Amino acid sequence: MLKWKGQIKLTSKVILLSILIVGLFTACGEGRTKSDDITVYYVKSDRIVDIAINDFNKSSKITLNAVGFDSEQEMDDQFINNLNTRQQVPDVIVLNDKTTLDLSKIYQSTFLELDTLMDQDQSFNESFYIEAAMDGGKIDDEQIFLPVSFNLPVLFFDTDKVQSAGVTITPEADIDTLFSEIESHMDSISQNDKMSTLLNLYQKPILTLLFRAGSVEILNGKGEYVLEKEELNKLVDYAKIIYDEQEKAYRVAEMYGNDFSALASNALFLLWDNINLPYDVRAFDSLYQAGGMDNIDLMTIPAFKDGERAAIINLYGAIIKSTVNEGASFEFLKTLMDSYAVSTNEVVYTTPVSRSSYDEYLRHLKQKKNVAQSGRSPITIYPMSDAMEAKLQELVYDISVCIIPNTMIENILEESFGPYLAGSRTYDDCFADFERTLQIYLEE
Amino acid sequence: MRGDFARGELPARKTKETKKFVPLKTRKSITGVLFALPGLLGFIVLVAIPFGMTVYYSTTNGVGQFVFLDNYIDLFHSTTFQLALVNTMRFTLIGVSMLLILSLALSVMFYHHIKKSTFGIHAIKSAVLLPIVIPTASIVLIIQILFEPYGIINGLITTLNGSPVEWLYTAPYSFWILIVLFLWKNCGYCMVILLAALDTIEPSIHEAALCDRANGFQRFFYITLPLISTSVFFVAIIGIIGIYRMFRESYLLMGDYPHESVYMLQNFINNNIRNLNYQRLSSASIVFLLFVTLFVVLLLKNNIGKGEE
Amino acid sequence: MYKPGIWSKVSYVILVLIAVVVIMPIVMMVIGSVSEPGHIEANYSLIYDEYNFSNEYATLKTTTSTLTIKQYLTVLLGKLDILLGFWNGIYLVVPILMFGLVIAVTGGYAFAKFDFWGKQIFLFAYILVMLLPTQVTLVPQFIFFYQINLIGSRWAVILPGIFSTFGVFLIYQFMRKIPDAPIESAGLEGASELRIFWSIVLPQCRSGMIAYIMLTLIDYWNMIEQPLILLNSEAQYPLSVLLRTVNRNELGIAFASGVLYMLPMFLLFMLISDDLVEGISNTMPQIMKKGGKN
Repeated sequence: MLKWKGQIKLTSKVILLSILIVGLFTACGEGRTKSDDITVYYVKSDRIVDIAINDFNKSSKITLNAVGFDSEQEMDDQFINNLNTRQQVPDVIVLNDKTTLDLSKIYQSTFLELDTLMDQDQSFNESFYIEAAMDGGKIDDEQIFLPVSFNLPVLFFDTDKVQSAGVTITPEADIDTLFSEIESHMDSISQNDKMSTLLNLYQKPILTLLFRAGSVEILNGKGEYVLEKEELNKLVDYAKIIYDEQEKAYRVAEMYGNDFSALASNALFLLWDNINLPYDVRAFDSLYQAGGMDNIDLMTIPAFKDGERAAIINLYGAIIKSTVNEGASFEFLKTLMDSYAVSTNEVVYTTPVSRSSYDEYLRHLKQKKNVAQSGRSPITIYPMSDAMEAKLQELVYDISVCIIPNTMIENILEESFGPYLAGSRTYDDCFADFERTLQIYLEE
Repeated sequence: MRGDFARGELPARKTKETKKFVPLKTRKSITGVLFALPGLLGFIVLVAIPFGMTVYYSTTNGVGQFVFLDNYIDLFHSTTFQLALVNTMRFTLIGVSMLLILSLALSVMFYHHIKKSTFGIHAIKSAVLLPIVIPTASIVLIIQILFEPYGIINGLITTLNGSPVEWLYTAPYSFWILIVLFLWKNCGYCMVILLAALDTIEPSIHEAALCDRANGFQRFFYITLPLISTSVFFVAIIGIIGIYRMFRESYLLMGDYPHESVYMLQNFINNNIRNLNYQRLSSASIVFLLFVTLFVVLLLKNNIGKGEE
Repeated sequence: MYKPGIWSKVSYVILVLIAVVVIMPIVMMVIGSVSEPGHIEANYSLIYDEYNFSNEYATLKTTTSTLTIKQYLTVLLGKLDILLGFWNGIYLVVPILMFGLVIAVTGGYAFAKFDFWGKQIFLFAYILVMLLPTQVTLVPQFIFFYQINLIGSRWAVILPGIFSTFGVFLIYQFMRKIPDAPIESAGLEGASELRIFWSIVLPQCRSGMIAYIMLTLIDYWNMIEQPLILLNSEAQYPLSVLLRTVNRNELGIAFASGVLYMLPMFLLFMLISDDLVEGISNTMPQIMKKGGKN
């Protein structure tokens, strides 16, 4: 039986050795000592982060190791890999609204709750920032994300034109009025091929856009299912209205190309999303004026719940739980929230959540005047008028709810109702599909 | 020296140095291990250890604390997991049994009624073996062309003034399309395997049975089937492996969240990878493994009795 | 046993029909691959919602109007990424086959003809693992490879393929049929273990090796999950994964790409299918005397 012992010894040695090797590797990944540097992940196209990095480096002694990614997918993949294997996990991650991470499912094990940090820091004052935005970064009443900038789609129209077209719309209208007016106008000009009622020039899927703007609630802060079927019904129907119009709208857009005034004259409403609110509004104002339209008005898409105005947080940061440098990470996020800059080309990258930044920005735009190219002719971009400034301020401070979009649910929404929008399936079928898939997703 | 051996006289012990022959049993031990070693090492490193990690993840929570069976309890409460489990079992059962029935029927028909030299038999045999050669993405494309809402089949239906059906997204069609796809792919070589097994049965047995006035069914169930039972078992195993491969087609056709009747365990695990939910996915994997173990143990026990006897 | 009669005609017809139906998709593919790319795109892209504005249906007709080899020319001469995908597939599968064969025969031989500590346990474990879907082992393997920095390297895909338990098990079954007597007598003549293995055992399981090559090839030539998770960049994906995107975006050449991808397997298959069938029929009866619990 001596041979058997030999066997056992051999195999046990082999097993032990392999376990040892693997154990060594896992151990190598852990055990970070407190150091004086922090690592930040961000997507390169979020230029405001570069500004924050500069500011941070100037004012802090902590070494900042900024890792920029070319796309959200790359950053998310790398981040997930690091978390899984517990190697080189960053301290801070800056996310935008195109993230592929499923935040509602990973936040508990991944991100640090920031309430204590916020309370301890004397220089941090919550009222500096738009309240709705700060609330939007909370999950289950705990601050997980710090918002940096927000976004909301805006409808531009010329009041004279709208009036003469027989549409009664005021910026205070609620969503039902808005869409019924739009729909009736669409019907009345259905024969006219050269004019479109609502031109949605932003390529984002229309359901998601309305879903965000209308602030339809599917999950509440605690992750419970609170969808009201009525609201979803309205959402999908209104989206269909815009969707049906789109083919015509694109043809109109093609006809007029870069000629903004022509475009604006032939589309009653221009829907813009993902704009830098103050900057672009000023530009549009001037563009309209150059086309001879003086009475520009703008409105946001009303939320489904009366009296509410919704926006999405399109840039936000979080601190990872495993960080050893909480203080420095928080400092960086603060810097990011306060970063605001106007480059020499007048391009600003975000609509800031910080009130003072926003006000300063508006002030800045009231003084500037420059020349830009629209189509074939140069036009003057005028300084922002007082009236417009007041309007923009009111718009933003009126925001009552800000959300961080859940891309997973939005995808399910798009996929379930896509066939209904395209006309190949009934609403009820799509809704049943939606509910089922959502249920599967929630319980996964 | 070699020549010094007298047959039947074998030394009692072996050492690697001597050139003397050793008893078969003991010789086998060491060389056996040596031969098996590379494979075993690879197995341990690439399968056993990762599996250990799976067990680790399934019994701990996100921060490394041991929570014993909590993850499993949580898992079983998830309606999605229950759905995935039920669907997987249903799909496997129906798929494998239909595979067995179909390939058995075909091979018996082939065996009894087709002369070996019939024209084109070889071509037919090769033809049915072909489906496994097609790349997954291509067959998926064909299925899409046929069955998508604006595909050919719906086109035909519309020209005949019927109302089109969303084949891939409605119950029960999505389920059966996958089953048919599975059968299409696998029946061919299963039939060939069973046919080969049938060929090994001595015709005399059948003749003896005929003499005893046994009719077709009796002959089949009492004689043929037991004699080829090992091949049937093999086909069942291959069928199960094939069922798992169907995930590729299901994923390509229907995405992350297919229709709820075809949402299977692999979808569940796949989606949890995205969520970083290691606890969930590890516990699901272990549950899967336990079921498979149960199944294998049951089959082994039942199969020992049968055989050529 | 062949019994002539009315059923033979009927069976023949049934079998022919089945064969025809079974080949239909392949025929569709081949016909699609020799059709005009523009027609294919115009017709078949209607199934994708984003290209279908007019709510039309795809039809069978237009594909056979003109026969051309344009698709093949485009792919072979122009589409470097598809050719790269093809080469990636070969680059992944060939080491798996080569080294995997070595592992399979040595392991199979060990399990079949030797007895050693832990043999039953390992055999049982092998069967279990064989019956698990890839997802179950994929994620832990991913973590493991990540920690030794092999993610993105082809070996992350090749290594698990080499040590796949299916190969060992298959060869194990084939080898059990090999009679012990020649081995014993060779041993008595003083042949070394390796010599026995090489000259006596291996030639006898030739059909087993062919079966292994064929089945493993089919499995790994078509793999999708493993490259997606274990490899990093699109440039490393084999065509099985890339075909997905090609089917979506470039329908015009999708069929030709598919046919080209199918070609090696098809040719190999034609060459060895006879041997394969013969091998299976020779060894099947003895197979599966379940050794797991003996």
